[in-house]
Amino acid sequence: MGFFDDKQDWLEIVFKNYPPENRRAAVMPLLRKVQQEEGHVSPERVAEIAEILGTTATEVRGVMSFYSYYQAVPTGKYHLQVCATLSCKLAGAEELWDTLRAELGVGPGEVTPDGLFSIQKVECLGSCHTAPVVQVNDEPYLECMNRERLKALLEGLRSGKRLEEIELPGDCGHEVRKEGA
Amino acid sequence: MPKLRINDREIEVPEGTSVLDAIFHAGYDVPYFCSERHLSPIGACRMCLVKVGAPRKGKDGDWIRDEEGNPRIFWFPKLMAACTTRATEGMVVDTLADEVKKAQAGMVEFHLENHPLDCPTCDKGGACELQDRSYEYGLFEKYYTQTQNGLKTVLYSRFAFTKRHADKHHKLSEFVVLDRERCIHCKRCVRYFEEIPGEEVLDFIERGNHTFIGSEEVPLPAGFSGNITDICPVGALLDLTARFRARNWEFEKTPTVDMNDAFGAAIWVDSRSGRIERIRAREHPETNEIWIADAARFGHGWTVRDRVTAPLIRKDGELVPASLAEAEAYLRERLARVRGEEVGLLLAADGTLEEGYAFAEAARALKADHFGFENATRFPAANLPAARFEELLSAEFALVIGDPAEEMPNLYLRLQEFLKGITPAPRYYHGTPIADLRLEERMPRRKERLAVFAAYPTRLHRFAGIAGVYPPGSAGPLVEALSAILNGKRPEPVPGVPEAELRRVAERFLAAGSRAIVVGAEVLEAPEAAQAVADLARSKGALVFAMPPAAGARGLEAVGLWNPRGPGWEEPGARFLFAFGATPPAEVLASARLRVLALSHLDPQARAHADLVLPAKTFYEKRGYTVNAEGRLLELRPAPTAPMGSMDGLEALAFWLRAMGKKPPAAHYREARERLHERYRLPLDLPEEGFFWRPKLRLAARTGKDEGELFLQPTMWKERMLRDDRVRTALGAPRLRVHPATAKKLGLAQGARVEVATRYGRRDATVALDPSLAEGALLLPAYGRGTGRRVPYRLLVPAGGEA
Amino acid sequence: MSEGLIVSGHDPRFERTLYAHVGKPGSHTLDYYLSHGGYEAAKKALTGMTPDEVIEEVKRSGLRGRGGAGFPTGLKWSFMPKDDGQQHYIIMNADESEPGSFKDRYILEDDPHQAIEGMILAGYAIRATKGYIYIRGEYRRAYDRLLAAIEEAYTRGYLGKNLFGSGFDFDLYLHRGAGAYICGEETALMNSLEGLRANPRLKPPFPAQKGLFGKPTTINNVETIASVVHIVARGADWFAQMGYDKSKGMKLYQVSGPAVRPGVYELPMGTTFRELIYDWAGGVKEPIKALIPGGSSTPMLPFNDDTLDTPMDYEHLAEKGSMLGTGGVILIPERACVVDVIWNLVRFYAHESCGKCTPCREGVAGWLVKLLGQIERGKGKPGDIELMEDLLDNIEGKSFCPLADAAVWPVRGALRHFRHEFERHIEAGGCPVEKKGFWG
Ligand SMILES: Cc1cc2nc3c(=O)[nH]c(=O)nc-3n(C[C@H](O)[C@H](O)[C@H](O)COP(=O)(O)O)c2cc1C
Ligand code: SF4
Ligand code: SF4
Ligand code: FES
Ligand code: FES
Repeated sequence: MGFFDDKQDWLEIVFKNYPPENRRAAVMPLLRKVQQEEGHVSPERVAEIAEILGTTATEVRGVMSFYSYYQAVPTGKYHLQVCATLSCKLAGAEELWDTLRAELGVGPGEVTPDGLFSIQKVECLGSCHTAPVVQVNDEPYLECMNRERLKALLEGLRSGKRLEEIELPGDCGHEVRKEGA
Repeated sequence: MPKLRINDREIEVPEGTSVLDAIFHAGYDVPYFCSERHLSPIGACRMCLVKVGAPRKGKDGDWIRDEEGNPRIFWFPKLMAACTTRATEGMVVDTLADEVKKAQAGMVEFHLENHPLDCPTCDKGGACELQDRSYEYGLFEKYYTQTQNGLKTVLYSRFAFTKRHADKHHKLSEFVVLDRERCIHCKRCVRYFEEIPGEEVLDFIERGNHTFIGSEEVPLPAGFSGNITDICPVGALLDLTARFRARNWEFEKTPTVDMNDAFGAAIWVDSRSGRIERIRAREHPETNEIWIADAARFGHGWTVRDRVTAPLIRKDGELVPASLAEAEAYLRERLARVRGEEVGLLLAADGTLEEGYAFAEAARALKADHFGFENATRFPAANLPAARFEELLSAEFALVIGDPAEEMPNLYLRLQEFLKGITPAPRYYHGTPIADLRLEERMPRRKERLAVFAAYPTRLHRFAGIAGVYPPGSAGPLVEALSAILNGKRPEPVPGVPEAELRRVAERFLAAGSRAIVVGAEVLEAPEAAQAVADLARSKGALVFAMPPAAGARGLEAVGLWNPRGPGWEEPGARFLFAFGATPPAEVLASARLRVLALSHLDPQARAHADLVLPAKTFYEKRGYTVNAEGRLLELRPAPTAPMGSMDGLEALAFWLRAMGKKPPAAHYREARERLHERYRLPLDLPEEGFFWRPKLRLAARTGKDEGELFLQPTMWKERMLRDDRVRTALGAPRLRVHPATAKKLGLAQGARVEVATRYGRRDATVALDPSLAEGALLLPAYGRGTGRRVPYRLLVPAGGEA
Repeated sequence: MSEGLIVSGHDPRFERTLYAHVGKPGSHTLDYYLSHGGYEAAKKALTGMTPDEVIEEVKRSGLRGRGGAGFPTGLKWSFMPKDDGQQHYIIMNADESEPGSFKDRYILEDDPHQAIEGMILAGYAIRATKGYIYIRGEYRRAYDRLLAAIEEAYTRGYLGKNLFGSGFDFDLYLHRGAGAYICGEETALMNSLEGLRANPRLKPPFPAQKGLFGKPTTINNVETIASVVHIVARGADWFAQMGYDKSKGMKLYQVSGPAVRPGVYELPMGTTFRELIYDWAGGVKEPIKALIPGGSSTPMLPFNDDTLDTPMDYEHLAEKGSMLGTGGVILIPERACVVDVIWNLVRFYAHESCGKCTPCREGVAGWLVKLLGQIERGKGKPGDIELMEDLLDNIEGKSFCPLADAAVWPVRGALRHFRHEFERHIEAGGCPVEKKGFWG
């Protein structure tokens, strides 16, 4: 069965966002949908998307491989993306990454045996003032990730809690959103 | 027409010219990789950076001037990519400045940084743009040598890290192989597919330094894929048929014309040691530009396999080699008392004009009434007015009935230009613009300009505003119905095509200021319909492009090898039969008493029926004229690959006629050409500017009707090409395409293997149910013979198969 | 402090607008927005001004693009064709991916209606009845809030047909990126939105001639478009009294790195680094040796009095050999290694190179990053710095789009002020800085 077979209504809504003669503009939302639900985009899904958009699988793969969010290989239930760019680096992102690797025993492109975790280094997430930053799947950011917070995150996820149920200890130590200072 | 200065030279160029073309037009050089003729300029390789300045206008609308009153030149703050910069009035371009040289050298070094430098084993070596440009524009005194331990070593780039490693032998199809390490990311191949044939089957994958060329459509569709091996500036995309066959400087390069279809595409035949190893497109701006079809390019392997190298005489039922003298004696003996009327003279579809002339003259002199050429259609293509391919680009609406992509592939590419609204580019001192700024990536195809109908969905259907599929045999009725509507009469119904659809076509046809009608073999086989096209063209005004299935049709018809009343290639008639270049159908052979065939290769029918076989030259090896679909005279030149003793049509015919004790009309191409000159004022040598021969002819059409249910679908691939394993593998088993309902009636199951017998021979095929066809349709690839006809057939189930 | 130009956040005349509601409970809802004067500017323009008058007002304000390049916004808008009968598009560039920049995010998260109102105004001015917000894929909360806000706006008539009874229709769509910095470049963004590989496109044709889907298009940064709301509401003069000569209005400055209160600060253009860092961001947590003034592509400056007293605007920073960029200040602590810092940034640009053009694909992403990495790891050879400088020459100004330049500039800045650190790496055959202990 095709991934989108039972998502015709959803497709219709997506296509409304673009002029009807530019169907392939919808390639990114379609790829994202697959990535969100299946954790990666397989060649079959690439072909299915091409078919829906009236283009070739080559074109879809060309687009897909351009972006760092879409994964060609399966990821864990929780795909942990660690910002590795300057401000996060200055706040210890490398140590965070090393800790995570050691803790989970996986490298990029791998999934923990329980299928729960995979990890990836990403570039600046646009939250440099709350460095270091981690993003799980495409959920809102986890900020100021010190050791305790990372530990709480992993424990929470391992214990089956949903991300939003997990309480991270402490805070950034400064106001994150400024209200007119 | 802006005037500008390139270094020290003042030139004037047409509006819209790129600085890159202006530089070449001025006689200077500038390196480039990403730009290519007929492709959109993209400014990616950055090889063509030059210093550019331009005058500016002040608030008063006049040039801002210097102390001496000359317009002041404002230099752009950065070097500009010449390919994407428009030449404007008063511009000043410096291609020789030190900063330009430094930039060029730097860019060469970047290009070489990850390049494997395996030129000694690269098929492109010696004809590689990267080699040439590195040599010309790399700063070798700076980068190319370094002294290490007292030894001078060559250093092509100062890059001292491990190079990027990638797949070095990535097969894209049976015909094309990709070496990802050699790729310099010029994007020519990617743009080619989208912009020229309109197939998005190749693209960059990943990004940044990891970018590589890839395809999810492997094998690449056979049709127009080979052109990328010509335009790839390096050895990243190579022709597998010629892999490791020779170094580029070892090839004998013969400029000639492709005779696999009537387009007359210009080709290079690259041969070595008497073998054709490679075919490349040759630039001819007015016809094929720089493109050829895959069949024309890759379909040459047959020439080197199992050639007939000596006369063969049937003895005790077997064809055995003989000397020419034996053959002559054999023939003299059998033709001694033969009267001229008893003789039949037949010529292959790729016969030259000289051959056609000689055959026609001989038939006339003999009073033979059986003569003709292979794949002659019932209606002579020469009766239709001919338009130049370039004129198509000035049309506003085109109606296509047939399958240009297969019948005349280069016309399909011209139709793509038409769809994009591209008109012929200006000619420069250096020829075709290299960076034509009118071209853009992903130009929309103006579908409303095109209506297409065929017996199956063609490559063109997806690009047409109005597109239809009719059951085979309805091309004639469709044209007649359309012509009725255009003439204000009531149309007869056309199976599979609603009248409303035809009325929409008629509306657009009439609304367009200028129109074109493209018709294929199917229409040419329906004389009334073809006549209606001729009448429409005259009464309503339209360019006509006919796609006859015989490459030489127009010319052969015009020199008199047209035989409306007597039997021709397809019909039994003469008792003493001579055919050059191809084997006539079995029933024609079977009914004759003596069958002499001049062939380069034996086929099953020749093996079964021929009494004498003479070794023949292929069209690659002949010299002579041909007239293409636009009435253009083109010249074939011989590649040095014909086995000793093999004959062209003139020599073989002379051999036959002498055996009859007759004098040949011309024994040699030069003699034939002199006759053509005397009779038709054809030039003795082809003038530089080309020559058109479009005599106004009203030849009588041949009569007859298709009687059969099996439609022979046009293919760019020809029977003889199937001798080559590579071609057979690439094409796969021929598919017997059938509408599901029809299949049910016939008891055919999807995937069943069958043997299909027709008058042209037997062919193994796999049944493919195809709901995109009209009901009743049953299609088999023609591979040349009988293209566009419906013929009787028998289905045989081979052992192990099921029907 | 109450006459002349407003160039300090301490000036009593200065009032925050762009970030006035960020962080306030419920600020993202339409009701909150309406109760704080929301959509008044749009109503004022649509019912009382012609599109050209809006453009004129923006021109007069002196507003320059806040996406990094600082192109005058009103002038850009005036390039759009008039009465050409084609669909026009306005695009809000919310791809915010330049390291050190995170200002647009909170507008989208906490004040999405401000963004929508700005889009209505910009759309009206350039005669675009359709707008897209291209939001970087990772901004999940911003996406959720924007989506909800757009829906709310539609239901209550702030988007859709005949806005404010003016006859002006405006549809607004959201498009999410998926992790590619180059999509912030305007033509790459349009390719991305059209479902193509996000390589930058050729200019000309410029977006105003042939942009999104081949139609006339204007593309602006979030902050730029949000600023227009306040320019229309309060007048061009109000805007133009802030800042210096050619750098006008308020600006969202960002501070990251070891500051006491890193974050986003809305201040008048021309505020000094000293005021930003010490008065607003609470000072520094540890000794600082350098700062990156406006996002990762801007050349770093030494952390000294001269730098600290420099007003943060286009001209003053250009004088110092750097740029205002996005106004994202990154503090580089004394204990960090400049070579490592620069390697990290060049690595970022290498990772984000789209691969279209040679100097960037091979120069930045293939060579420069390796050479820097080699120097940082102590494997550099004598002559490597000179070789690197030659590479910089061969890259700078030669690429197809400015991304490659953006990789060159920080290296140049570091070499200008901290060349000794590079030399020390080569001489010592290693990085003298311990890279542990940053993480708490
Ligand atoms: C590589 C590159 C990345 C860019 N990224 C962004 C970005 O994330 N956000 C942004 O607003 N502008 C970005 N820009 C600038 C845009 O191209 C464009 O100039 C800007 O969106 C115009 O809006 P403005 O005039 O309001 O600044 C980037 C430019 C380049 C060359
Ligand atoms: S394969 Fe050849 S034509 Fe294609 S991008 Fe690479 S170098 Fe250019
Ligand atoms: S500089 Fe060239 S390779 Fe780099 S992002 Fe721009 S266009 Fe792409
Ligand atoms: S550097 Fe990590 S969020 Fe900006
Ligand atoms: S940039 Fe490649 S030819 Fe001009």
